[in-house]
Amino acid sequence: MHIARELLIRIFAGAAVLWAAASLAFAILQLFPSDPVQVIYGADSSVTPELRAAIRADFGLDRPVWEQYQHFLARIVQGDLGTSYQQRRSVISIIGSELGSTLTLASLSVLLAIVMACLASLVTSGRRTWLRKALSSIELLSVSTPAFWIGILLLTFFSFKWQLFPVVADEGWRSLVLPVATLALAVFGSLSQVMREEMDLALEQPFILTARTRGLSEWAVRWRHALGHTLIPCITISTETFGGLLAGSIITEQVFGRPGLGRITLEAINNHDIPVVMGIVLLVAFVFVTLNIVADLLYRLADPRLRVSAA
Amino acid sequence: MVGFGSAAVSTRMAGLALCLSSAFFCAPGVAAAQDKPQAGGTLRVVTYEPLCLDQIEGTSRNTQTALQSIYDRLVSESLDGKFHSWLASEWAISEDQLTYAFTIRDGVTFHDGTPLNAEAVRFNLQRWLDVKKAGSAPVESISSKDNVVTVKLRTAYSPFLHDLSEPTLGFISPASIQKYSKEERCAGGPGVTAGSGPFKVASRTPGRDLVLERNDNYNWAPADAAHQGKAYLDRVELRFLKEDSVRVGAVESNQADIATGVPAISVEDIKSKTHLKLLQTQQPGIPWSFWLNQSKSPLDDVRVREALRVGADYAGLIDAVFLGTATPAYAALTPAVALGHDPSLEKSWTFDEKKAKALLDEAGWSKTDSQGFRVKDGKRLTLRGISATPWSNQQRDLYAQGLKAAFAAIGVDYVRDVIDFGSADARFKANDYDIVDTSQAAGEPNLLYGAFYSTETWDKNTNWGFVKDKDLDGALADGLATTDREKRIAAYTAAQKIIAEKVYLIPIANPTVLLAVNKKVQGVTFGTSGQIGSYYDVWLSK
Repeated sequence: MHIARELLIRIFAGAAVLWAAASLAFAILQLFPSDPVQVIYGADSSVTPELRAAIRADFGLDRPVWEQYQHFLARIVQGDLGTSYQQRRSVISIIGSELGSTLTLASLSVLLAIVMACLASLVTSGRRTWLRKALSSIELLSVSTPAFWIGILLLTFFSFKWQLFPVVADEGWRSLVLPVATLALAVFGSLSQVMREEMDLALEQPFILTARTRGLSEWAVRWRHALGHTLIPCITISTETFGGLLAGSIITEQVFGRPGLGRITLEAINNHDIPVVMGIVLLVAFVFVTLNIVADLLYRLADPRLRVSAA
Repeated sequence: MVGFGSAAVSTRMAGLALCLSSAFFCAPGVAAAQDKPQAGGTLRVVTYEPLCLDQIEGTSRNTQTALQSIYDRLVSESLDGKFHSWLASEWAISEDQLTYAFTIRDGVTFHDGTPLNAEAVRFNLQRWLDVKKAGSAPVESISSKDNVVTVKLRTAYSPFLHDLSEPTLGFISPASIQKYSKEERCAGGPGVTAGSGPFKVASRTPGRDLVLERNDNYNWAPADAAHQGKAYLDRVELRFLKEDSVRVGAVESNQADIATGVPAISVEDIKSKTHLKLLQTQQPGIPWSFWLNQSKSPLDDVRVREALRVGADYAGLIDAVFLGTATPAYAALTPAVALGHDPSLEKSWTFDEKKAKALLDEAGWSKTDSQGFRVKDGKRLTLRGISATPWSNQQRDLYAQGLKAAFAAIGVDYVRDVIDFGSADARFKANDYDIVDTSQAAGEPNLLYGAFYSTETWDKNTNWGFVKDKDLDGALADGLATTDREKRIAAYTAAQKIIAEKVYLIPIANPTVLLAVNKKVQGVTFGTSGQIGSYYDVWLSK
């Protein structure tokens, strides 16, 4: 009952966020200095005045801004995100055709990062060993190195030099290894740092001492009792990262020449393809709203204390 | 319509490319002479992606490299600027230069099996006129009767044959246009994308690749192709990789056979690989240059313009910055424009700091402020330059920094903003700049019309300098009014002389186009706009 009501409130709040995001994006794009006609016709050519007028009428750009805004909102409600200036395809179909590839990349990367970060904190937290030092250095390196550079380095060695994983040919999972590793490394750094910190704290709690006195092995203490405490920050960071990766894996997609939302985001921003930019803004806002709701539900699963206080 | 920027080629302009030196491979057919061409095999190319496979619907960006082997055109232009029969077996131009009659070849079919006849050609040209206003060609009407297509122009327009030879004007099956929506044609795919070229689409994955397979019915190659009949290759796989270093890595590691858009910094590396050859051609068009805004002070004074031209060691900086991938430019057309480049302008000015300073003193900029920059009436001699992001690259940015230092030495404060195209567009409209730096790619000398004719300012073309010169207008109009080769060359030579004499433009560097190619790949050519040519004559040695 409580959950249902809370969920309903959340969904309404989410809709408000979406409306705000759409309006803000619309307002900002109005301030763009570019002339959409130039974009529609191609940024590499100049356009005759007659053709300019014809294109303006075609895309409704000759109408007042207020009217364009109303029209824009009405279309969104009907699920129509408009037509790309550049590709002449509907924005929905563009996003639809790219989404799969991005989802695969983002979910595999986040999953790999979580597994690596869990292992790293299980093995190294609360200990002062050389392994911990080595892992911390890797984390620091991965946090401070741009994904672009990690990608190029991985390519140089694993594709160009040793020819283990192709960048040109499409060989199923083998083509996925390097981009997933690139993104996972970038996420792993911060995730692992936070999770270990959290596990360090947990290992100092009295209940851990109790568990130890019951004769549990060190591994069982960590696996059954301490790991749970790292899940809350893990959920927070990984859902947020996952949302960010949807439109934010631009660089990785570009380096590896993969289809995906990042690539069309970059293309659309560079070319001022406004309908596509809008569509992506809305999609990302939608994904973040949804992920927040999902994260809240996951918190309850991960932490029984939240269930008690909510009841 | 006029193309500008390094990746751009217009539909109006013509192109021809020349080989930079005999050390490099020359097109076409030179390599083929060593060996008998062999049929079969798959060519793997890493390049940029075309956005829309229907070239009339989408923008022209990147379409040439990927799509020119899918679509055929009416006529073919060779690198010397001459025209050859293709889908038009012959053509006639009326005395008054206003009527073009093309006789369409028999027996040509599109990939979907429908015939490519005079009516199909008329349909395509009409669509070009309706959707793209025929670039800026003054087309009045298009009609077809039996096997002849007749195009009437409102005014004489000498680049017309060139426009028709451009890869962006390849013909699409009218049946496919009626059958599929714009969206489906832009996305393209086997069956949907129906040209008549030597290759047809086998598959397309947007953002990833475009795979072409041989059209076994093909028997209508242009008269200037190296062979006739079917293409040699079974398949061409175009893989789209945006990152320069990744494309280069892909050919170096043998994952691809050809890489386009090779950056200058990779040249030495590629030369050191024994399995690769570097193909290089000079980009036809207007060199990378400074367009000088003469509508206001300080560049309305020819002495200041001349001071800028002799006040820096342009040629010396080019060797230092472009690493052998550009040559110093003096004429407003690059040497690759066979029809028109004026070689007599080579080295017609040299670095002379003293002369530059004297000219500036004479122009009234004789006092200096506390930072050493010249001032007049309390205003500093500041020149604000603009370039748009797609027009610039690492070398040009570096070069501009060198120029900034050189100009500072003669007391000129040069500021250069590299901004996105939209912002640049807004500043052009507001006349808020002194210098624009870019290059324009196309081998047709009529490029100069768009860049310098008095009425062709930014609202419709690229006369960023607001040049208004009767003699120049006269020469450019002469070049437009006749298709006679010698008369055209004379007109454009005169135009370049005026541009140089009045310093309407400071040409800086003749850019080159670089391809990294595996040595087993033979018969690679360059197209008339400096892009890689059709894959029709390409073959793989075993």
